[in-house]
Amino acid sequence: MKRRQALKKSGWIGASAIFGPGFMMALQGCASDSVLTDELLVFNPAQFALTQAIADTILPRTESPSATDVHVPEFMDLLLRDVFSNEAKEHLLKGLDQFDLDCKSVAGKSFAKLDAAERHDYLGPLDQKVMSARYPDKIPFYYTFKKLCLGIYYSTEEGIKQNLKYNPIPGSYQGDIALSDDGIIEVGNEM
Amino acid sequence: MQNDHTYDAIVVGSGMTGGWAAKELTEKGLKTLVLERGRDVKHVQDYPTAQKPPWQFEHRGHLTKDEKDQYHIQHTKYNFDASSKHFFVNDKEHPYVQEKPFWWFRGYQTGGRSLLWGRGAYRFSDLEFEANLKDGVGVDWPIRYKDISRWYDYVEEFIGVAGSKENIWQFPDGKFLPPFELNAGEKVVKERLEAHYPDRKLIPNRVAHITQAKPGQFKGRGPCQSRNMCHRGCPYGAFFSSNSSTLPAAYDTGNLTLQSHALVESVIYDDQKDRVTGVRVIDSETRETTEYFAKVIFLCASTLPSTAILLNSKTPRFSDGLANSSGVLGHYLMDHHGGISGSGILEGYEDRVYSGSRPAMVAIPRFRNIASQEMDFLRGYGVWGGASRVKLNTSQVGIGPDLKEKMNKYGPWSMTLGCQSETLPNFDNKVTIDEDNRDAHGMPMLKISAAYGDNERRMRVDIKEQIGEMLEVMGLKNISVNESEPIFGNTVHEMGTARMGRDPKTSVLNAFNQCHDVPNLFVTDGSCMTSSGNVSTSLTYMALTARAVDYAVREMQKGNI
Repeated sequence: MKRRQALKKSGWIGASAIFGPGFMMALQGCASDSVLTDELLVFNPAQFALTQAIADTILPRTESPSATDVHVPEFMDLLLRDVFSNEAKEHLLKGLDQFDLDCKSVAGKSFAKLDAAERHDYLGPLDQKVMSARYPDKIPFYYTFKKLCLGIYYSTEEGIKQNLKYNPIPGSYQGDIALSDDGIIEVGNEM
Repeated sequence: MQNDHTYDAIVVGSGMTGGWAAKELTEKGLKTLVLERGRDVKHVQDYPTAQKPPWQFEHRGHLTKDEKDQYHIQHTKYNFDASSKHFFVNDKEHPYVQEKPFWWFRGYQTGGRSLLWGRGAYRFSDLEFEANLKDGVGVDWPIRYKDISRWYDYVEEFIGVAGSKENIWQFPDGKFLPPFELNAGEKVVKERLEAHYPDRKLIPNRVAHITQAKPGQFKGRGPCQSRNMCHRGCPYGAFFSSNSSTLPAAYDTGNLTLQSHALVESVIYDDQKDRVTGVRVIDSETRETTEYFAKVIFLCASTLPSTAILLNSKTPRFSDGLANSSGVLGHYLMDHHGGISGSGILEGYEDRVYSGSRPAMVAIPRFRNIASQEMDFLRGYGVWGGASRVKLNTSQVGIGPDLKEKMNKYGPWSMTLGCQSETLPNFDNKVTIDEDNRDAHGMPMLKISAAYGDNERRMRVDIKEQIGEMLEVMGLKNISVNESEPIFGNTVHEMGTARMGRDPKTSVLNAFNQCHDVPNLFVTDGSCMTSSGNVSTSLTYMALTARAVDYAVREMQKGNI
């Protein structure tokens, strides 16, 4: 799916349906050119492909969508442009490049060139090592990337609806009820 | 004097107290003009984000670099995000001078910050009203609990306050709707805490939310739907705001005129009559200046702006600001202090959960210096917090289908505690107007200079210890306690710069929020506060406002105003 379609899907189509044309115009006004471009904003194609590969190894397609199914990499690209400070952006981009260099030296090829099983085998121990530690000061690339990836995934419509119990209007608060057998989290529209 | 610019009463500001003044004045039959410096925000129809899911925001929950730049102070507040930023001022457009660090959070629109408040609704007790007299810091409050309790009743019954009756003397019960229930985790830690400390209770927080409504009781407002998205504006009108409650009631009388984009430059004072006669207004869009006239004027613009209007209203008699014969106008600025918090994991009880996102915490009311002065600091603090199940922990180990399965399930119970603490009144903490620095409307900028003192610092040592100790007593694991340097203004309870008092030589307002110097001028927002207490103050402002209007109208009937 092209970038334009992706952003339409996750962005303003729904808004116009709910709020009508007036609101639609306001949103287009503030959405600026990110809605209108098919191009990558910050990532180069190799970084984008690598992001897709890592994100889908963390969150593969199961009975629910994968990270790339819900356009986590495209949204990460948008955040790099609009949200990240230059320093944080460079940290992430350099981290991506270094991640791939490390992969090449250990596994012999770029992470994106590995098959799904090889990716899983490569990333599993790395994830275990990085995510087990706590970082009071400097946060390693993969730690940032993973948190970002998961955070984005669980802010998408399908990421939420296909994984969690989406309940935007819970009604009166019930403070002490039995956990359902599946133990699945209930969420609403809070950000 | 033009007829179409003349009213019985003028109210400056449409927020928490302006809405109450408008409701009370109009219901008593006074033709009332409310002047709001910002744009109009109509209940429900001007809450554009109220039902939007996260994926419909361009950057979802993330703040852009541009937002952080334009809203460099406002964006630090917990309830600022893409869904609520239209209710906060743009800091770049509304500058002020920080002589010392002061974070000023503002919403310039109909309803003001009543759309953004934390909704905690508490009564002051005589512990607060007697505090200054007992320890000699600050002047004595001119009122006691008995003077205001029926006005608390009156306000609570109109706005709807959810809470539990607890018979805690220093935390008086009110006219409550059913409380938001404690969740399973909180029930466990409550039992442990109360078994350990005979003087402490963990109770549902008292909040201005409708939890139950009889037909017709709250005029179009309905019960909370547990979405916890109050800061977007509540489409159900479940929490109290001027927009949902007091202003519609005022409109219903047919006596209300609300003028938006009306920035009050100064109050007009007539030396001959020794009365105020009206206000001078700048249209914030066209810059046109207009004068409006009335028999009585209520300043409800929030603490700093109301004080600034008085400081900017200079006359031969009041060369240092209107109604400032005492010289204390602008001084004794207070804010609560916070920024100490802690958390821990409650093991077990994982078969219990809750449904809905409760827009309220739990409270541990003040327990220090109650019966006597027992600590090495004056006054006290309260502790607030809550338990919740850990959700969507993005720092956990794992990848692939296993991670997805773990992510989608509830984690353990986590309990957090934070504080809100009293600040002593101090002459040196002040707001002035800076004639040399003017804003886009040509108004002198506010210059704010305030800092916490030794008493607050000594109190903070105890708070930090007690939060850690209580988390231990609750039997939690992985306890961490954090402290950040408190910044004045950050609790958004700025108050005290036109204080009430018994003596016109040391205070600006009398026991009815009436200026000692000018009988037909009232100030009923946070400026009037003589001491800060440690609980959130909006309910007290509302009660004082209703009480002041009642007094003002009686005085008008007697011909005294």
